[in-house]
Amino acid sequence: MEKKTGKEKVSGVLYIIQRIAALLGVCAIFFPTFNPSYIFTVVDGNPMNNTTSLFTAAISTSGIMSDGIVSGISRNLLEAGSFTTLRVACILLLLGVIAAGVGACMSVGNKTMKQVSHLVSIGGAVLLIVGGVIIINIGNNVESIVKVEESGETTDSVYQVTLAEETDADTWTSDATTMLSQCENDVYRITIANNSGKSMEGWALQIHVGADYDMSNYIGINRKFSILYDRNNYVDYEFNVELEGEYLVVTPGNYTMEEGELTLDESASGNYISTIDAGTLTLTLIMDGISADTEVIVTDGARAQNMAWIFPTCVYIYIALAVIVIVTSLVNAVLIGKAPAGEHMHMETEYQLFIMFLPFILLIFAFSYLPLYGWRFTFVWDETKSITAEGNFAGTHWFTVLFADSAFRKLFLNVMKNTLGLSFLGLFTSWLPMVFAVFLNEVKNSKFKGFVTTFSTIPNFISWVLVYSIAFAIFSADGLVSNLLGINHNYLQDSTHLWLKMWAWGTWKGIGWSAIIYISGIAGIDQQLYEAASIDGAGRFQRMWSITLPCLLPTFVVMLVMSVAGILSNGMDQYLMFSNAQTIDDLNVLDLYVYNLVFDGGGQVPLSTVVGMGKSIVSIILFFIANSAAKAIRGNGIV
Amino acid sequence: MAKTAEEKMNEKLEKEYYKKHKRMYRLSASDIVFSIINYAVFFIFTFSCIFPFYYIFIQTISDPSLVASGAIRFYPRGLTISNYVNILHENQIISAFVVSVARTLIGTTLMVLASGLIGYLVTQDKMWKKKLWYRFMVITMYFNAGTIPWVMNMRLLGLEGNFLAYIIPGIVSPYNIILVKTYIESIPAELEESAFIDGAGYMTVFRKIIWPLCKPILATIAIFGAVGHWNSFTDSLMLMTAPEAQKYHTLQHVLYNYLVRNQRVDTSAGGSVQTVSAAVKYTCSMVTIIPILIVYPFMQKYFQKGIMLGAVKG
Repeated sequence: MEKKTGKEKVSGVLYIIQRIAALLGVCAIFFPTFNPSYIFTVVDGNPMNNTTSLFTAAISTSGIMSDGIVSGISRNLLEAGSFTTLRVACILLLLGVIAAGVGACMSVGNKTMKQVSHLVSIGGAVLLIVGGVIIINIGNNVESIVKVEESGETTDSVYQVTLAEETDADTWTSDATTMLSQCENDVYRITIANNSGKSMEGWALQIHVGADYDMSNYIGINRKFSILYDRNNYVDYEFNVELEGEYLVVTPGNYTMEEGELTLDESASGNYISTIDAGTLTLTLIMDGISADTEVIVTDGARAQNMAWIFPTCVYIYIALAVIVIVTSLVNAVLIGKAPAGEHMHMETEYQLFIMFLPFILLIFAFSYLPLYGWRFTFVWDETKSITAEGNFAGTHWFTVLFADSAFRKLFLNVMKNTLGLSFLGLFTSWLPMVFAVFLNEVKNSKFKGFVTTFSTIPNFISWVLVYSIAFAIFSADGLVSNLLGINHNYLQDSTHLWLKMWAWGTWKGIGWSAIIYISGIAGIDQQLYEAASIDGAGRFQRMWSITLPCLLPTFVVMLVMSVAGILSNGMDQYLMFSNAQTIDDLNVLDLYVYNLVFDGGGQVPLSTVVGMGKSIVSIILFFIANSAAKAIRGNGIV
Repeated sequence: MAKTAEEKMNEKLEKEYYKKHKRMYRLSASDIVFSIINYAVFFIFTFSCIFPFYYIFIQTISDPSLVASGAIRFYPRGLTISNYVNILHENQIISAFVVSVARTLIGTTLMVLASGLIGYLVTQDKMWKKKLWYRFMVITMYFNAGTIPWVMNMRLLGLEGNFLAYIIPGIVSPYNIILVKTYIESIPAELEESAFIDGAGYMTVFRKIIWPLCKPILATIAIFGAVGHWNSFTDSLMLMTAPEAQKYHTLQHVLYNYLVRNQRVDTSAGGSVQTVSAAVKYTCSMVTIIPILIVYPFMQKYFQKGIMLGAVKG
């Protein structure tokens, strides 16, 4: 290897700096903290969500419509035109980062390629600077508007929205009876427009009602009137809609439904209706093409929420990265010197291969490593706010609450009991597939054998949803079993022997498939062993016990050891399908608990993250233990 | 499966062997009892694996009024295809079917292409820091941040309520890549080397030599990938919660809504809420099962190979 000259050393260092800058840029576009299109926030009251990254903002229209921008536009703080400008700036920034990344990749090539890479990098950096300057400029325009707004009277506070039927009484009252009774679980698109022409769209009203107006009927699981969380616009509205005489009253607030009781959580966030001016609004419900217009009277509420422009400081980060890239590229362009005439672009094999792999490395990073960033939720009170936001740092609260709070502790211990109970039930019977294979081997009719292997593996290939569909067909109140016995019993809501039932479904689904590995194992056993044993007078069972089983044992032990690593992962699908009000106590396993904490009205993201994090950490420790055990048993481990 | 000449020959030899050693293999009474029980147990189990599908199927092709009265137990009566005609009018099912088919086709194709390429790349010792990147990939099989951080991450990346959420995360599948890698390692290295000597580049070697040779293993992972895509529903459940994203619900998700959501409402308040009729539930189930049953014979050919390779490498 030839010795590097001083020049080469310097340019080597500069390239490393440039590549790091490009990599930082590529990473930054995925983090909301570094999203310069986030330019509005609420000064007092409830802050806005900040969960969109620059990447999202650039590739999707809904992504860029953060709360801040929506409110900004709806209150004339931001002209609709500047929204397009903002979008363009985001796209420029994204393209700039991509070009800088490509340039960094190309800089590992030969001289000709390096010179091209300088051009690409500088081009990307220029795009970054242009995008950054555009965003700063939008800010300059907006800032002046906000100042005017703040000096004027605030019209942006609302706590009560009254939805009164005035315009189209027929549609709402008489027809509503049939209309509503036909559309349980239906989703209404809802448009709210006020008399000055401003409107907010994309909300949805989900109404679950019975056949009559008796409000007592509406209390129950999934039976509330609510305007759903609209993730695309990051509008977190939840309303309680009640019928009061002739009126439908919509009160903003965060309601949680528990055990048939309606409770109002006053401290919860989510009253962003404040972005609509006071006055009369038109509310349009659209369902299957039928629309009903209603007037909504918006009155001023108690708390005012002031919007303010925040300067996206992170835009300077992109500009700084751009400057670094430009400087290093220019210096290197001089240092490297002119490429020999006629030299083709070329790159060393090792880097060629690496760059082919690079896009996949980024994908792996984005979907398997980046989620680790979500562990920050374990330290916050409200996951929609930044961890550094005032009063949002929860410390170790979510870690201790599971054990400190007696209600949580009881629930959590029950979950652990179910998780471990069901797992151990599976572990203790994990020899069944092996026995299945051993006994199937005693079936001498090869056609019957083929028939069994073919059809006993089918259940493995259908989802748990379909397994539940089968269970429904056979064991529900109208199912085959009830039908044959002439009774009307729904076995799916029977809370007896649930663990055994779940184990039975799991075994039914998996045994044929798990047995295949042992069937292949048996096929590999030397037939002479059997012949020798027969000549020595060994019977059928002796041969099974003394030849077949010992030959399969190493495979079995390794499989068993590895399944110990998955002891906390029962999988969610099966228990999600089979759990209902009667069976949830015995079927609430960790995976399902984590899911239910967040979805279907849970909303407990921090707690759920803590539980999931604990599970991941314990699982990886178990995995390494199991791996070394497997190594000790069969000589080589899994990784 | 057609028997090869060799297999036929073996069978013949086996029969002769049994004839010769008849005394040794003479069946005792206990043997006969054992066989009967053994056959019976396997028959009953296998029957339990087939019958439910048949049972649901006969519900869907029988006269709805007979189905409602519980008269259809073991054979169809009053044959009709009205259920299947009706389901063509259920917009939700049609759109879900299209989504499921699209994600299965697109997702599987990209996964197979990527697995082939990555599987090839990680066998190339020349790659810069190959070991590091290989470990970087493999470790993700055993470690993940958890469900909720994953969902929040998808939201962060703008994939919530986006069809691409079904496709992009599944492109890199470490398990399948290991299968491909193991397979490529079994290909004689001389093939590649001779191509390099003839001046072929890495991509040429991959396209002209490795890819065609890998077809059996690629077919295996394609089939497993496709079944996985078709069956997966938690991603749809967790990412497509917004009303706007309803058009991206997969068939499994719709079936889940029909089966569980409605039934839950049903049980909590004495059935005052309208439920999806059993006929629709059954028909939707059949629509979901049938594609699996259609590809099943093809799968059979490959899955033995798949599970054996998987067992070798874990």
